[in-house]
Amino acid sequence: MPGSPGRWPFAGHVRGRWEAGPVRLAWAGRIAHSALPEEAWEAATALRDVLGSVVGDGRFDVINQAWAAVDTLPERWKTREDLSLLLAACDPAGILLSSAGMAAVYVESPAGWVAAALSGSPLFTEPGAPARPPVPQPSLRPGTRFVGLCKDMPLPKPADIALSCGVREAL
Amino acid sequence: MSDDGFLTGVLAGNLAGLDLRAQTDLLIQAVKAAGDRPLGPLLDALAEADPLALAEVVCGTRSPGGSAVILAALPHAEKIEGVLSPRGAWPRLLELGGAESALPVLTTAARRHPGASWLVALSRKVEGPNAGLAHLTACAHHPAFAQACRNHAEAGHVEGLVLASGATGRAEPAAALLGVGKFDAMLRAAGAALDTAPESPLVAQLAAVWGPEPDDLFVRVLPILRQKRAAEALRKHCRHLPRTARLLDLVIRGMV
Repeated sequence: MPGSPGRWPFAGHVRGRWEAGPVRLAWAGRIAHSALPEEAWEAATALRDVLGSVVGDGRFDVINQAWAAVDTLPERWKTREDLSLLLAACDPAGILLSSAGMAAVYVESPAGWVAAALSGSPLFTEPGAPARPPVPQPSLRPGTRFVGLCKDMPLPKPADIALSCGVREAL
Repeated sequence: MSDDGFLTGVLAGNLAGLDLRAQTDLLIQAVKAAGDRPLGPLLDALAEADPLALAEVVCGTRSPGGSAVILAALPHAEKIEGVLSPRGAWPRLLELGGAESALPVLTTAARRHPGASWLVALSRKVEGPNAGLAHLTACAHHPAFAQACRNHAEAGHVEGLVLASGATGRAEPAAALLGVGKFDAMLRAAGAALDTAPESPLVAQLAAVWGPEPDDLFVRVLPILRQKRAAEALRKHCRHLPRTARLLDLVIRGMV
């Protein structure tokens, strides 16, 4: 997920992955991004805490477990209703996407970055921890790198996507 | 009344019988003739009676200038700004006061307008290679502090930011330097901040600029640690930074 314009583009941003055998889950999101960095870091740590505890058996299960984990976020963070989170789970049978607070999701393909879901998809919702686990959607195209965009967030130029998402070269 | 009696009276703040707008020249002459006598009472009285006349005497086109006049005028900055725009008034006060009053002028301007972008150029003029130090020190507890750090970073005021980091113990100067790609300077600023305030929220500030996976970054930050207290404070925020946490545990064990 790209950072937001401003002094603290990645305040409250998280990215991580979990893997057990053939089942993999990756997440990217942000929470409390409009707060000061100290508070946003605290919120992001809470989100990392809950997502880091997820285990699952297969792509559907791991997605459901992830949303169940998000539901255990402290009320202090849930009531902000500003969570944006993109989950991508895969197992040998395919890839599933699930999200909250996203306006668009793109996947890297040989043809460049293309929409991973069509507008109107249940993937695209308002920010905030969902009251019910969102129904996961298969990706329109297979791929390994996804970019989730919140409302009013344009897709960066292809050459800039990695850096705009805070993916850095090794130091 | 003799000329000297008139001068003594005016310098004491006795403005009775004067038309302050029409007789500004008399006031300016009194200031010029003051020698070592204090100007405070006259400027206090002018600020009270007619801020426009005060502004004319202090920084008008016929103002005699000099550090004594400008320093005596600083307590009345609000009145001067009532008749002149801050963006115009402060560079003028700086120019008229010369080197002796430059730092107090800059510091007063910074306290009054912590978020003003024109302070960046003013700082460079006054502080040269340490530009930003006075401004950032003066506004360390203002909400505009982070933006001011960013403005100075974008202007290339690296040393000022490093010094301000040490003076304030704040993490924002380091974050601003990281934001403009000054990695080595960021490390120096981070070290200076932690030396002054070991609990400075460096992790949150730097991560907010760097990205969602800051483990690699903090591994590079660790060599700046000089105090066990700072290392322990940093460790509290690193439970999702496995490499940093592992190294910090080692560092802390080796520190006394």
